[in-house]
Amino acid sequence: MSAVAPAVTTLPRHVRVVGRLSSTDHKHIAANTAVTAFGFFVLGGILALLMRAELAAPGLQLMGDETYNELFTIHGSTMFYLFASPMAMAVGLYLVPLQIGTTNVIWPRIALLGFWLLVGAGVLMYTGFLLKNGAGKSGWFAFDPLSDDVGTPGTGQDLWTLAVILAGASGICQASSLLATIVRRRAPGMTMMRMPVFTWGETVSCLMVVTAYPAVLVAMTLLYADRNGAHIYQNPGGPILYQHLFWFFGHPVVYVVFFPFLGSIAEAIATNAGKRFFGYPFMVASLLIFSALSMAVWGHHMFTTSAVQNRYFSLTSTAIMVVAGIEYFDSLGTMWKGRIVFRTSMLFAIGFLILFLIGGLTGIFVASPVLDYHVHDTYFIVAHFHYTLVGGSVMGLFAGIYHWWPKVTGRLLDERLGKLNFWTLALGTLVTFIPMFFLGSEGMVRRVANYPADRGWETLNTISTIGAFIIAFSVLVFLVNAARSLRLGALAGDDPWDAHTLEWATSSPPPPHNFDGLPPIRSYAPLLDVKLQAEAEEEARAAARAPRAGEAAP
Amino acid sequence: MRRLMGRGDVVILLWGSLLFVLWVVAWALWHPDVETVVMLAVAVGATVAKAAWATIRGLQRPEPSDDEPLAVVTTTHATSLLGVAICGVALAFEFGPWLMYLSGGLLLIAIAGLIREHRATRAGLREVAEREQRA
Repeated sequence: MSAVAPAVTTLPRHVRVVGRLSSTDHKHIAANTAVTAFGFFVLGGILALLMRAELAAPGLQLMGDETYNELFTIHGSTMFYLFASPMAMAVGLYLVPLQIGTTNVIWPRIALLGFWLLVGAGVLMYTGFLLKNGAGKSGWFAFDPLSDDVGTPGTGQDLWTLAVILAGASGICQASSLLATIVRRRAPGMTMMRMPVFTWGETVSCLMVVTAYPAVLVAMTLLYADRNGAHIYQNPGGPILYQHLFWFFGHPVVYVVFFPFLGSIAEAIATNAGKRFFGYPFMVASLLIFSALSMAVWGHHMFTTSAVQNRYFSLTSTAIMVVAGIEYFDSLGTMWKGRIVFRTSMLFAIGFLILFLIGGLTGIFVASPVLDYHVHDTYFIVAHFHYTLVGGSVMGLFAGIYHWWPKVTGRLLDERLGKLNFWTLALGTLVTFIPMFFLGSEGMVRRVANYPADRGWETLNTISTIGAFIIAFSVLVFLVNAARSLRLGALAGDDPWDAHTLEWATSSPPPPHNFDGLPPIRSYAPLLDVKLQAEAEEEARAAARAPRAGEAAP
Repeated sequence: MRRLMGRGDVVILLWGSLLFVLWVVAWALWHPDVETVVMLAVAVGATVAKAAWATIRGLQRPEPSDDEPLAVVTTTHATSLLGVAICGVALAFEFGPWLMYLSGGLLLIAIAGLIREHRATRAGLREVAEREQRA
């Protein structure tokens, strides 16, 4: 065991809530961010349920058009700015220092500032509901001129704009801290090519955040100025400039919230299959190429504007399928001939692979300008990106939660409730979003509270609404499971899954300084190496003890 | 190659070169609109700058060795106050000068607190180093 230097700690003995909210321990910052983000996930989910309840039948039953506009705007904004993106950073802030064998992140104060900016962003965004003109109502993208002071007057939209600036800054703070840690603070022996797949997922996500998120800060600052008299986007070409700036952030963010969860299913699969992750160098290469490509596909959101080079963006968008295929191949290769244990985390990982595939394959359709013109701004697009986000990010998040919960809390989640959580989420996702493909291809447009009664869309919409409530039930099951585990859950021990990476070499939950000592790091699965070596030594000892042929037993 | 890929700055540079290839393909083969060219170029430039930062930091100060204290885990109320103050300033754009004055005051207190924490941390680390040297 190579020694890790003892941490210099001035942490108060009785760390209470206020102390935790100001702690520079990466685990506290991550837990605060994750709990806040999950709270916003629940809030955003409630908004989605209200929208689906309204759409269950034609006509306006529960709310008017304006309220519906507020709901879909804040739902989308919450899910991207306040839930998925912060959650992707939060899981990284907790796990990456543990996986690379260090005691804390570099610049923990900046990471903590990121947490507080996230809280502020949420407060600002939701304050809009209390104001006279309501919350922001021009979509999570806020295209100009829809979002200017004439299209959407009122303080709510201004607050929304400021909230997005704060949320973007929050992401940049946390990603910078994490990226600097990965680059500069790995344990001795932990080269980049020995980092676990999850940490690689976080690495490419952080690279994308620090490169793409500044664009949304610029876009929103200019929008705020525009709404307050500067009229920047109202010049010729202004709306197109806004779309460029927004989508330069808006498409990469989809992958920012995907790669860490791809990493978490990779860890879950390798552990539950009892095998080293298959094709590690190819996985790393594909993550780097995938993330670079996804920085150059933003124009496919602008095919119908005729202002971008459609052929270039179609090519880059379609090329993503090749590298995504490598990641699928590696994941399946890891399962091949493995001793698979179907724990809840494994079920979520398999669910991820199947459901994200639907999102990925329909992504090929909309990467083609010809097909995109047909389905642009219809429910087909809503179905496509919800399969990538729910099937990808949310399934991957739950795989990660069930995999790492024992490490974070020291207790096990209930497997039966976990499996109920999985099956209801998988069923709910299929029932909610499959009908939307049909609705979209038949021409039902998105972002409307009402639809004609004579088009035969009611049944599909009702089914979709039922599915949304099944998803809500699934999340409720998880919350019950989590609460039950925290009070009554069985103690997990340090390494309940017989896992491969460094975080399982310390206690559950880890101490403030993370490690008392580290095993030697010779590959991306250092704990597996130690276990295999111990097994080999045990076998050698057993062989030495066994009587040789022709030798009399004592 | 494997040895080079083990370095963080090289990985960032490699990622930047991938972006550069995508920029060249766009610019040379399809001559897209100016925004596309400029934004990809900025992304390439920013990534190269990050790689350069990582390389310079690496040359200035090698990666931590086994016996170096790696973390000062503490509480930092000044940082929390800074976050609250920034959010207050953002709210003040909409709710008037009174909130701006209040948040501005909090911002100054937070900055002063951060400076104090920074000094205390450096003093603490110096003390530890001296104690270890004496030992």
